[in-house]
Formats: sequence, structure tokens, C-alpha cells
Amino acid sequence: MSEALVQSTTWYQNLTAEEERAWFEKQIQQCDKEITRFACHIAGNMEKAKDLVQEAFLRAYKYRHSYNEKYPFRNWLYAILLNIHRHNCKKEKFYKTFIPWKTSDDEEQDAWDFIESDDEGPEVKTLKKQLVVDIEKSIQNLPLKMREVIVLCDVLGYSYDEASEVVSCPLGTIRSRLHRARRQVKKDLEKIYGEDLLTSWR
Amino acid sequence: MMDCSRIKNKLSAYLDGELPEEDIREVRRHLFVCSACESELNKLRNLKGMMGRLNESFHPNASYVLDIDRIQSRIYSYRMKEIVMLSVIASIIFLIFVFVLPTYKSTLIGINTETSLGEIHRNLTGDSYDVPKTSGRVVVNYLKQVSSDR
Repeated sequence: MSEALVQSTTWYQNLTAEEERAWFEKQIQQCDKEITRFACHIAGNMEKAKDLVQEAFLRAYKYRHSYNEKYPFRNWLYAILLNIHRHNCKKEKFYKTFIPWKTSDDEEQDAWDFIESDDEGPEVKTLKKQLVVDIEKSIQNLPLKMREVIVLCDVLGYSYDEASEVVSCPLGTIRSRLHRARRQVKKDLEKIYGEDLLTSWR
Repeated sequence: MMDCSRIKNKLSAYLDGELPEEDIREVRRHLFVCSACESELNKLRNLKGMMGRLNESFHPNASYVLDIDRIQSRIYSYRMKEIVMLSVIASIIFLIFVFVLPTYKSTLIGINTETSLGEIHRNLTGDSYDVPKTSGRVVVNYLKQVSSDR
């Protein structure tokens, strides 16, 4: 019993309020770029992504004492962000039924506006940039549950275990969602570029 | 082929190294003899590679100045809103219990008492006279007395 008590010390136990705050700021600074990228892929445009990230920081600070340091801070933040986004999507769906709602603003920047290409020759650069833009568009067209998984696993390189922690669903579900998401993205790209693209791409 | 469709469903997990040993062996055996599935695996591998590059090419120009004081004041204002909303809901429930329910309850009791006391009196004695609503026990005792006298 005493061993269990010793092992369950929390990250904030021996910290003052100022130290807690400094710890939190440091954690946020370490992952703010990554979380912005993640939010852009999930939300599909910059304005929504910024709002999501701000809301996620706020909620993370409010519930900071519930953070379990056994898991990476970044994963916990991603989970919070996903929950906020899911809630926003449900609210938007509800309002769309009863209130005329502008789905996208021409002035809002889409996620693919931030794609930069590698330093290669101009023709190759344009082709690869366009390809990456098409991949991003295809990801944005996926249903939210599939999008979450493909962004975590393929874009950010998470393992299935890590993705299942963030998304809070079993490994089998992650596996099937990822499989369906990849199949859909592959189909979309083959429609635009033909079947040879994926066979011969390097 | 049925085998191919079953194997294709496992190719994603095979590519990520997330299959159990037995399934990995099964997939490898099948890939050895099936060029279509091998080609499908190749395409998936390239697609995964492309999506990995997506993250490298992605540079959203957002920078955050983390202002904890501002976050704290927002949390405080959310809490105040929650408290106000809960107070309003509690007040409405209180008003319903204090004003609406008693009126509804007394209306219901009035209807039931009138019919039942009047009927008992007429059935047993044949006479009828006005019986007060609150005198249920008195009437029942009187009726018992009348029936025992007979």
C-alpha cells in the first residue's frame, strides 16, 4: 500500500504555483509548432486551427492537475485538441440544420496554403508541391475519425499504441480506420494522377 | 481471389509492423506468390512515405505568446458563467416547487375528494347531504355506525 502511494506522486506535488506555471509554459513551448501542424491537418484551415490550439491550451491549463506524467505531454494535448474539435464539429452540424451557415470563408487560409516544396528544380518542385497539396485535400475530405488516425500515424509517425491513447479507442479500431483512410487517399490520388504514380514514386 | 482480399486488408498493419507473428508469416507467404498484392504493398509504402513528407513540407506561420494570466482570467470568467447558469436553473426549479406544484396538487385532491365522499354517503344510507371535504374520517365512522345499527 505504501509502495503504491510512493509511486503515485504527481508532477505538481512539490512545486509552488510559480514553478507549476513555469513547467506548463516550458511544456507548451516545446510542442507549440507540432500542435499547430496537427491542428491544421485536423481542422483544415488556419483560423480554425488557431482557435483550436488556443482552446486546447486553455483547457490543458485548467485541468493540468489531471495530467498523468506517465504519458507524453504532447499526446495529452493532442487528445484535448481532438475532443474540442469533435465537440465543435457536432455543434456545427447542429447549427447547419437550423441556421444558414457559411461552411468556408474565401478569406480563410486552407491548410494546403502552407505547404512549401523541397529545393529541387522548378518543374519537380511544382509537381511535388501539387502532389502534397492533393494529399492534404484528400485527407481533409476524409471523415473525422479516419482523418484523426491517418494524421497521427502517417503524417506524424505515431505508433498504433500511441494513436490509440490519443484517440481513446482500441488497437483494432485504429488498424481498420487507418486501412480505410489509406485506401481512400490512394483512390483519390489514383483518380488524379493514375495508377502509375504510387507505383513509381520515389 | 478471396485470399487476396483478406491479405489486402492486413497489408496496412503489415507495413506498420503491427500484426501478430502468425499473420506476418501468412502475409509473407502470400506476397511471395502474389505479385498483385506485392504491388499493392509497394503502393501503400510509397503513399505512407508521401504522407510523411507532408509534415516536413508543412510550415504554418503561427506563433503563440503563452499568456498564463489571460488564460487564468478566461478560466475564471467561464467558472462565473457556469455558476450563474446553475443558479438560474436552481431558481427555476425552486419556483416550480413553491408555486406551481402546490396549485396543481390541490386541484387534483379537490376533484378526487368530492366524487368519492359523495358516492359513499348516497350508496349506504340513501340520504344525501353536503359533506365537508376534510371530514372523510367522520363520514366513514358514521357510515360504519349506520350499517352496524341495521
